[in-house]
Amino acid sequence: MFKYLIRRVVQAIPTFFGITLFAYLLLWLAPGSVVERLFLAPNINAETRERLAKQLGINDPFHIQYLRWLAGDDWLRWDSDGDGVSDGAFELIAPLDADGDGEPEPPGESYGILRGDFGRSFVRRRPVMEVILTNLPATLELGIAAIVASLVIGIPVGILSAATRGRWFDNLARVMAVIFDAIPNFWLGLMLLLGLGKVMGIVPLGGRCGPSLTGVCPPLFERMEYLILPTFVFAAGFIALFSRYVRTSTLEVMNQDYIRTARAKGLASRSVYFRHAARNAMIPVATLIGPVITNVWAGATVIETVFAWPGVGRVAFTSAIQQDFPVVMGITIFAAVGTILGFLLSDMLYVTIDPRIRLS
Amino acid sequence: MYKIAKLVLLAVFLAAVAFGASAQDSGGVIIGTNFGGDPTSLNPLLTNNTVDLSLTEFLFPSLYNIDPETRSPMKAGRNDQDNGLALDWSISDDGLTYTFTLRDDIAWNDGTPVTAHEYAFTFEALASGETSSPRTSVLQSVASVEAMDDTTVVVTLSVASCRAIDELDDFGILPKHIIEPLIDGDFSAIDTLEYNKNPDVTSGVFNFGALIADEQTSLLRNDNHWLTVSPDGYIMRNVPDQVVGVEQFLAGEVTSVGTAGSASVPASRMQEFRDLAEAGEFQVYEYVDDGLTFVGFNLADRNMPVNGEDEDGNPIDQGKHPLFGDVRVRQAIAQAVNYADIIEGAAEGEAVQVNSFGTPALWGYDSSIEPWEYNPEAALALLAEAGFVDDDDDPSTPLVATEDALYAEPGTPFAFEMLTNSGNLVREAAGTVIQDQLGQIGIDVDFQLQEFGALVTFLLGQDFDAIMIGFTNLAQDTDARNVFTPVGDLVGGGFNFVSYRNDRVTELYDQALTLPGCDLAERQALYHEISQILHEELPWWWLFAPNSMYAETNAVQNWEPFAEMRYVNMANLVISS
Repeated sequence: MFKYLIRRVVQAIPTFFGITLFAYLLLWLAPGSVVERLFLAPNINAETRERLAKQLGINDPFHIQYLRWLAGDDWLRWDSDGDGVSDGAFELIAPLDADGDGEPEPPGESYGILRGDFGRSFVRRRPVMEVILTNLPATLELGIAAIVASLVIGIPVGILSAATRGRWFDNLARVMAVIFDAIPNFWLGLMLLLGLGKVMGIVPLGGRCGPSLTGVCPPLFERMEYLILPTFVFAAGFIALFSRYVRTSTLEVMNQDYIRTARAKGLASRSVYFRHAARNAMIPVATLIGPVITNVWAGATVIETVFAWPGVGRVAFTSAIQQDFPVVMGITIFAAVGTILGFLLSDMLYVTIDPRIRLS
Repeated sequence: MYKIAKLVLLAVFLAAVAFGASAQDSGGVIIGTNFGGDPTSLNPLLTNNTVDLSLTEFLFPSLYNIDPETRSPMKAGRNDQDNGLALDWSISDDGLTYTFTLRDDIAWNDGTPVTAHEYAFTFEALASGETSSPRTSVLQSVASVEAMDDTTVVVTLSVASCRAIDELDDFGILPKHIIEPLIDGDFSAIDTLEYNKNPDVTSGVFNFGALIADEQTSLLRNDNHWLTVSPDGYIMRNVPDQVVGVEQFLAGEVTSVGTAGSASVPASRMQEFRDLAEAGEFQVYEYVDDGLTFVGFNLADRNMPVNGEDEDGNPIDQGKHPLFGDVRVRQAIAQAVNYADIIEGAAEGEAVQVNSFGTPALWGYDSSIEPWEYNPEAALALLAEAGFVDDDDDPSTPLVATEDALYAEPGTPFAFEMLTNSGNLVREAAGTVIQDQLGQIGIDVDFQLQEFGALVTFLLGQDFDAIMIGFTNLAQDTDARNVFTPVGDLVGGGFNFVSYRNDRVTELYDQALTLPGCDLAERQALYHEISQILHEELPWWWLFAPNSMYAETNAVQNWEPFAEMRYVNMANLVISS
């Protein structure tokens, strides 16, 4: 298994670089810039906007910007005597006086993501890592709650559906699965906010916790009312997914010889379904964990925006609109690594659940 | 026993009354809704959006107080927020030297006095050009700022500018004793100070409280303030959009719709809010917003965008737009559209027609100008005079140019692109009304919605026929050189993106900026003349300014709002539980 994991990690490296290059290129190709979005006003003249763009480095050619983000720029231009002025440069890529004004460009100070420096947000004016880590707990809270809820509800529903095949519970579960799968979660979220929040007033209209002068969000158990709706909306699609997979695989397993043997031994149906059939029926679920984790990242963008949930997804959405490259790229890295790890987790669960399977 | 019980009950009643009275006298928290995201910086030198400004106005001193009635600088005046330093100022005869006399009784919350040195230090940081501050327009006219002593500031201008007084209060005042040791002479270090997100030393009615990322920002009462500050604090809750903010208000989750810097009751809900306020459900305050929506006509040839002037200030031939190069065409368009329909269709009737640069709330606005009126017959006659006629008697096909057209080739159909940014529902609706009504007289408008970044690329690149955009948060004395004169006609960066040039307008604007003594009435007359010329020549077709509405729950007592100054008496507000 260890060798397998190493090989998968090595295989993931070119994928990772491909993702970063493609994502950065897409952002770079977008028309306009963060400076125009933030500073387009009659009383901010073109020179000021030019100066701000230069400070952010967004007017540099693509390869410079990408290299700086990836590997930093302290090796592109440097200040060896410590007087704050560049006195050396990797001229082939970044000439000392790139703009030809007779003055050397400032020395590079960033280390790039390969050395753990995710850069600073153009808009939020904070280190990207700080932005992500500040908002990550909210996304994890919501994502874990949604996955747990979908497993806790989806798996039993799937098994019970199989056990009651063709009867009212099975039919109801299948219809609900189709509905949950088909309804866009942003619409479901808005409707539930409208009904349960605005009309009935039994849940708050978004946010993760109530107003606080001290800036402290209370422990989760004291603010469950904020978590319920986004968790349900987030989990709805996963519940549908898990229940359908588990139902199908349970029905397949129920035709196996060992199940017939268990029945012939006179075991109770509950024991047959939940102790004997369930374990093998779980194998497809294991393969789904990876994609589900990936979908948590993707879905968070929509769910967090609808419910004003202060997570990474919402930051990604607003940063993309604001063309805040460093934040979008930082979150892309997190999402890429999360996806790769999610699929690795799936593979490992696969082996754990079914001892007959060996990774090679 | 009975008497004792009565006495106890009476005592309890009196205590309750007394307690209730004291609870009404002070305290409580203002909770507003904000859909602009977290503050990007709470350093007043670096702030660049209404979210930042909604908070820093309660945290930092300013050079002078603003008169809430006129929104102009107040000499020795004090508004209820009372953060202005200047007691008085004088201007030299040549208009180049401003001498400010400051108060000596304002202090930072750590007890250190706020002095003239703090103001000079902040200007020095700005003038270094090393920070990422966008507030550099002041540098166009101010040469130096010098603190003569703790209470005297002398500002020397490089060129006389009547806007200087506005610009001198634009960049905030930093606590020198805190910032200077942190940056060690390197002003670029200001950009990355921890202070920018956690300004622990401030001097406003509130101290900074805490920020929960993407959730809320809180401010706490400054108990060391020279005023007695009533509210316990102010919380700005982040919401995804206006609708959620409004619903949270109606659900009682917050006390206010919007923040100190934005009203946020959408036009579609204003009548409902009016009705509910009349029924006593809550309080509202209405005013005309300081932003306007307009269409810019490209007067130059869009196929050869060049700057308006060369480096020596000589005009450059920019060609002529085949349609909009002729002023009669622009005037015809202005008469071919029903403004009431635009305002009703685009802004739910919650806007006012604008006939001059700015909005009716600004002193430079000329309300005496006769608005363009809907008159399609006059529009068609003017177009015929300009050489555009209906050659096939079919109103569904566009007019075509004849040999009388000044810049269009004969046979050219009267068709053009009009761009605006997607996602702005007001502009999308306004553009649709204009497209429909111009279509009725044979003008074919290809109305296109562009993503904002793409729109800006077209706009600054001067690569468009007509473009619908808006100005927001216009200052009382907005520096319109970038808009009205060739100085701003720069491909890729200038705000005179329609390539307008009228030497008389440039002359009037220069006069208004450099008028000896800067008498407001005289400057106003010059601005009015500019407005009249622009109204006739129509390089920009001003459309409307939206209404704005503040809303507060009845729990917010003593509230005395003004246009664009929602919490001018924040220190006196009482928020009952």
